[in-house]
Amino acid sequence: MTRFILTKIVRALLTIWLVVTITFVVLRLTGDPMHSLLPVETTPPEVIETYRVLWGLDRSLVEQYVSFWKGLFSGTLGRSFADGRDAVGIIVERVPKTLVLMGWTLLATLLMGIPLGALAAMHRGRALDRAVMAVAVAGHSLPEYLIGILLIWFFAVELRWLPSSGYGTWAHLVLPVATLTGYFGAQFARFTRSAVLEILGQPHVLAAHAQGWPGRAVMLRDVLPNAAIPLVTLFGFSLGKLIAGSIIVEWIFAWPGIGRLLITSVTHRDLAIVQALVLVFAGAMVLANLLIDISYVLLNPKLRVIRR
Amino acid sequence: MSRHYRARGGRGTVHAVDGVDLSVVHGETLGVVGESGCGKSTLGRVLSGLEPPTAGQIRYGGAPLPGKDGAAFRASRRRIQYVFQHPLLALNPRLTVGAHVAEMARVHGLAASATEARRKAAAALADVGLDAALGARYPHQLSGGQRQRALLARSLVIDPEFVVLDEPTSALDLSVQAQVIELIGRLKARRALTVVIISHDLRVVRVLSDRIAVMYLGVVVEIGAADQVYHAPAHPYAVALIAALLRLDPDAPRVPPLEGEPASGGDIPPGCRFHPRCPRAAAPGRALEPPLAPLPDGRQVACHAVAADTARAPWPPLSAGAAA
Amino acid sequence: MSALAEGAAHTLPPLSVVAASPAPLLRVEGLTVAPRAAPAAPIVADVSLSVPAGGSLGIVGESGSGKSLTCLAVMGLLPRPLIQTGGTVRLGERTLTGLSARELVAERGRRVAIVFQDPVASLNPVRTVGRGLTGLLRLHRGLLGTPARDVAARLLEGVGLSRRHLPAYPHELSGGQSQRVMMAGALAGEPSLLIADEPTTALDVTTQLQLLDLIERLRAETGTALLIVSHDFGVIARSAEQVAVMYAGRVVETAPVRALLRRPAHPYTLGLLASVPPEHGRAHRAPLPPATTVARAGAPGCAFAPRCERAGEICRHARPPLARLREGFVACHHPVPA
Repeated sequence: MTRFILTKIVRALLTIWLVVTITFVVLRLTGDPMHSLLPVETTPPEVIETYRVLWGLDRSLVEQYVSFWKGLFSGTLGRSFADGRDAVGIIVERVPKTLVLMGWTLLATLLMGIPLGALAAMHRGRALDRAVMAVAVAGHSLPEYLIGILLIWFFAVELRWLPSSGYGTWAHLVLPVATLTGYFGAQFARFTRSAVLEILGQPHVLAAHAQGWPGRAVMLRDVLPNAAIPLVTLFGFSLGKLIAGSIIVEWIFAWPGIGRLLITSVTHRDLAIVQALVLVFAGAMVLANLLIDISYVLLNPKLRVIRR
Repeated sequence: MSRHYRARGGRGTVHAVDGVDLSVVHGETLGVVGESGCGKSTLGRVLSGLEPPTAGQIRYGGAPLPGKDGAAFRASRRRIQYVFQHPLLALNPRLTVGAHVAEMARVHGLAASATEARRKAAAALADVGLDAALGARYPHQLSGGQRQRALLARSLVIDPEFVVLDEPTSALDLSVQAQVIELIGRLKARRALTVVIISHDLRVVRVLSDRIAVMYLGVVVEIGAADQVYHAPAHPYAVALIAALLRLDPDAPRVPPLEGEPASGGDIPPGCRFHPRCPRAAAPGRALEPPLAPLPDGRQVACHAVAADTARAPWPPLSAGAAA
Repeated sequence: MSALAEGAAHTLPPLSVVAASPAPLLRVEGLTVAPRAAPAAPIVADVSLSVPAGGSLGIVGESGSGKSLTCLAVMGLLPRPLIQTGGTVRLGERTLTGLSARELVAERGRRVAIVFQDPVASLNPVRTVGRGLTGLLRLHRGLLGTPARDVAARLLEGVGLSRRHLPAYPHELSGGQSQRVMMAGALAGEPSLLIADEPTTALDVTTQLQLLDLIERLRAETGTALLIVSHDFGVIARSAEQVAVMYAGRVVETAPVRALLRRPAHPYTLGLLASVPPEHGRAHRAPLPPATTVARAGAPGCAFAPRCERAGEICRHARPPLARLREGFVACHHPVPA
């Protein structure tokens, strides 16, 4: 098990290095950040040159790259080109806000998606199943931005119950989380349903009924633990899509998290921030996948033995 | 001839078939029996050239079998056919049964036109007792017995010389099994086929074969004339295997079952592979792997105890299993 | 419904067997199972069986004969699309038919236990053998902690395994070991009837013999009655005293095992026995002709008539009732003479 985890960690670090390096090179090859930061036509060339030197953009790609890593190991990721603040400081301030959004989304997704999917499977073909699946198909096939806009239109514009954007109170949280949950909850409900249906058809479930276990016990002891194995895989895939989804949702609802920061930084070619954010996103993805791999092995005894 | 597999994970080698020497004579039917995991299916695939041996060689009509790629292999398929164990998996669900058979005839250049291929297919289907109307059906629309017949028709339409049948009756109901056995017997007789039948069912193998090879953990432990091996087995494993057959008589004498279960191909006991379960095992069996040695009656047995019997006693000594 | 009522008359003869035997433990009368969507087209029709306390009954038949569905109906575990449309199942003094789901759950595993055909798939892949058994002991006998583990270990020893297997996961067991674990689980509730649905079909012959010996020994030790289902006459000959032969959802012949094997009365039984590969020679005695259509329990006349060389005009119109003949009962207008 230790060896398995160590190999996974080494691979994870390699992935992060690759992503960061590729972003680094691509960002610097696709245009001069000066053009979007300063009005080139009206700014005197000396000023531009001063800033170039200040941000280190006058040096060769290799030199910039080396100093980026040096900075990384001493805990700095450069300064924002836009306002000169420390990149790490900006991100640290924003990360918790995104985590709040994603955390509630995950909670709502699991609490709604899994029970609804399991219920639908148990009532296969009956009214409850059809109702759950109709909602789930709708939620899954609409893109996040459309769900978001529909929710804003209905709850913020028509009913005026909830704020359409911003950050601060519980009310601000409802629509962004609902938007993301609409998509991911639907996905989990559908997937849980098919995973539970597959397990329900297996002989060991019939055997459990035959041994005298009441229906609820069979569900909890035999069906769900086995259905959880494919769900963990889906959870892993979903985390990546959740990060992507939260970027869009933060933009729609003006949520001041790192997703929104990424979009503003990219439009302004704020290289230091973009670079730092890429590092954060890659790190988050890799960490999530590592945890998924480990829990997958813990859930599935067959894998545990092979790895032992 | 040996066939080893690398175990997944890369640690160790699984010896599915380990040092088997056997020959199949033109026109004869050899039955290969043994329990699951004994390597009989692997042997069948290697014999038909679908898998290369890890060590050793298969010679067919004097020449070594060609490797799996290239024109020589495709040409060899014209003469050698392997009939898979699971008809439903071996047939494309989107092709009708007739199309399967017709396609086979075309691929091997036995039909110049689609019409001729269809005509050949209809004849092959009729040959295995399938109605022409059934040719238009898809595999899932057929019963188990009909699928097995269709699979046979697909292989026999090109008129091969040598056919390996892997568990041809194992998924079938008793009455359907009897029909398929009868069909195989008839086809064999009419076409002078050379056949290897692989099955876990000793009764089926005995009815269809001239000779029987009994396998245990990747080796042949006994090979000889079918009735001889079935009615008077010599190797202690063959004795136990045949004694374990359930007679249709509640008052048949009860034989104590063989204890334990076979080890897996990745974990083979040293010496004679059967010695941990063998009622006759003695010191040499634990150290030395017995060779397949001929008995006076012509069969070959790989057992120290049987070899000692024959050396000591005048013919015929044979084992207690002879009564079974 | 009229077909059902007509069927009910035919259920009477086997009950006289029931009456003659000492104390029937399981009594199935006129059991009929049909799809919910088509209640008039039964898959199992008018099946009557009985197993005396401590006795054994074998059901033999080919796939689709309804033998496994009969077992599931006894357990009240029919798959959703099917429903019991007629007949009663009685276990001891208790009538199981008509019990609420909750009451039925309380019977399962305690009075009647079942083991299935595919032992490896019958075990929950994420639970160890020990946790499975201790769970059952808590459920059926209220045992917890160390006493439960000790009894679990004893159950394993009783089926030829050992305490070592407690921490094992199903994928670490062979097919034979898995079926032994299933047997240990079935015995955890100390049932008075064990149903074994093709218990050795997935196993190799030497393992099959071990398992049949085990069933025999456990029955001798615990006095459990046995209902064993198999397509293999050898298995039935080995483990059952009475046999019922099923064809197309109906019992066509029932008799003591020796009588049935030596003097089969129904032409189907005769043909099935002739389909077993012979011990000598190359040819089967007289294999059954292939079924040209799917035989249905609801069809008028004898379902076997299209494949029967003894069939006459009457066989195509009137369904033969199960009637006394020699030592058993046979549903045939032209039974095979002794």
